[in-house]
Amino acid sequence: MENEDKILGSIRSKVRQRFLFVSITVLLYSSFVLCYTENGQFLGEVVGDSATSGGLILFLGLIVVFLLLEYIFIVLNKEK
Amino acid sequence: MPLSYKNITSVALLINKLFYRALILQALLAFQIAWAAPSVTSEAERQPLNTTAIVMFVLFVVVTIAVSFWASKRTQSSSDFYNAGGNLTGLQNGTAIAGDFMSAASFLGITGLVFAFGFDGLVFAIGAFAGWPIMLFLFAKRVRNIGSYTFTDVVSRRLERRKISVVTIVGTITVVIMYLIAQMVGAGKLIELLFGLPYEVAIVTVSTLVIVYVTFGGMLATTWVQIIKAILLLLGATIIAVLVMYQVDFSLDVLLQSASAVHPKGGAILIPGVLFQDPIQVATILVAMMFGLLGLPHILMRLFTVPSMKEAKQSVFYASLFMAYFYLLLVIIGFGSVLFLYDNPSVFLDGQLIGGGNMAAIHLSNVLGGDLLMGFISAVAFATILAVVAGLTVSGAAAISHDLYAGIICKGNPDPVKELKLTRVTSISIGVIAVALGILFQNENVAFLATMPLVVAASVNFPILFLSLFWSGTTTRGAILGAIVGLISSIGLIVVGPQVWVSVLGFESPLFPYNYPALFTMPLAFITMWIFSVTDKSLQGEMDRIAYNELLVSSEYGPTDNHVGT
Repeated sequence: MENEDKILGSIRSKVRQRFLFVSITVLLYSSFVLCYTENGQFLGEVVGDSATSGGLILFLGLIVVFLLLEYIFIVLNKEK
Repeated sequence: MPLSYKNITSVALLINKLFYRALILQALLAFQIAWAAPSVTSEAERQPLNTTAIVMFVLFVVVTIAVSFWASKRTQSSSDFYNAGGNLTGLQNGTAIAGDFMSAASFLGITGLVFAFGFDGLVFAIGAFAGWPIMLFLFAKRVRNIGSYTFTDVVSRRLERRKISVVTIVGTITVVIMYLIAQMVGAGKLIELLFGLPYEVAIVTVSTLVIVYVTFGGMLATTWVQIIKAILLLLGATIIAVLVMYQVDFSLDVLLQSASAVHPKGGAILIPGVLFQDPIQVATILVAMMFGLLGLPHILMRLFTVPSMKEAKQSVFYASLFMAYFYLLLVIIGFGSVLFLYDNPSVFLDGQLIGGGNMAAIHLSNVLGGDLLMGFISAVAFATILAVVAGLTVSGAAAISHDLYAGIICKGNPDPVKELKLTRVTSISIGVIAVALGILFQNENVAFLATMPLVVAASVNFPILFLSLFWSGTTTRGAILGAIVGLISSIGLIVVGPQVWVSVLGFESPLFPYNYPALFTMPLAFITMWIFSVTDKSLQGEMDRIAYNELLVSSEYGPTDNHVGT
């Protein structure tokens, strides 16, 4: 019984970790909507003298960050 | 007449014979139409016969048919058919997943949107990519550990199998058919434009080839078709992107500045707001694309083709890597098409891009690499459709033969030989149905057709899958009622939305303002599932809740370790 609780407790902590990664991803993903709001006006402007907009940087950044999150998740949960 | 093994098998064998005849008829029809005078669209729209593209495509077909015959020798059982024996490596499966998901809509559609609207086209690119991390975090390991062949296996592990299977089969078939119609109509139009072939020839060719791949080689052949296609697509996209960057001294800034200088909207294409102004509209697209991906049965099915949970996770990671690379290339290809096409009068007719916006990537390949590159890219686009349709066909066949026949009719104890036969018959049937639907819906709006499966998957399949895996309180009653509400509300809101109500039915204004209602219908499905689960006081409901702990352990440690008591 104690063993069962231990196993279930360990699984639940892994589930919490999964939800943490999901929350970060969904939060970052939702930030893309900012491009279309007044609060995200800075994303709708080009950066300095370049032609790259804040929105494009966000797009490129999100793809890289999502990949990094996946990599971190895999490293943290390496199967023994 | 009572439904029995014998009856079903006799009917299956009869259908088998009929469909083999239908297959031959399809092939004959393809030839007949190919030599007949074309009559589907105006000659202004259709391109001249593209010999280079056809030669390259024939090469692809020869290689993939050879692969199918090789795979057919290794496809001896239903298991081989559904999951390629479960022996693929993470890299192979990841490449195949990328091949399954990177459709012609992604390559040609997103490039076309960036060509027309600039930055706003990238909303679809981020939407298509962002579901993959969630797939890894939530489902890759757990779905792989609990299921065998289909996502119905996963949800029926703790919910009442027969009842929940009916709902998931309906969800799977609805999504597969909708996706199939979108692919077939898209294929017909696209191939007509790319190859100069009539619409019917295009869809009969696609269907016949897919039937050959799937019927003979099952998931193994489908996997290798998807792998070959993914490699070709990434290669083609890389070549175009490198040629674009070469022209602008490998400077993204020069590319963006030059592109905005030639686009009619000027610098506005570099920032959000040309196509979308309403943040809710953008949110509806993002929600449908992210959560729709997580409910696509043909994608979930690919998680069962690897031998371990480790390989399942690696599959998703490799798939993400390939897709990240692909969507980054689309930024260059999209803005490259703006730069090289807008001041090129030869690709315009009456002020419109010849063939429409979806042809931007094809025209760009012609401008940069001549007939050879254009032929290659056209062949890749055709291969792309084949790979996606093959994946859908396997998934639809598994829903009928594994979930319906083996799971419900035979109560989990089917004759393996008969099941495999039925699987092949179903694959042929799906191919024939795809041709019929492709012809029937040929005048419908492809964008609308492509919307449906993602919204339905997000509103039906995803909530059932998520709650059955992560909430102990989910009961069969709650899952079924929530799924029904998700299905009805998603299809209902799509019908009264702009794509159908205005564009198809011709009303002046839509009753619902958004094309992708998943932002509203998915929470509705979740809430319904929650309400009808917590109020479920039945014995079945209690059993569903009790079974959760065992599922939790199985999903985390694999089926052999599920020893924790309930």
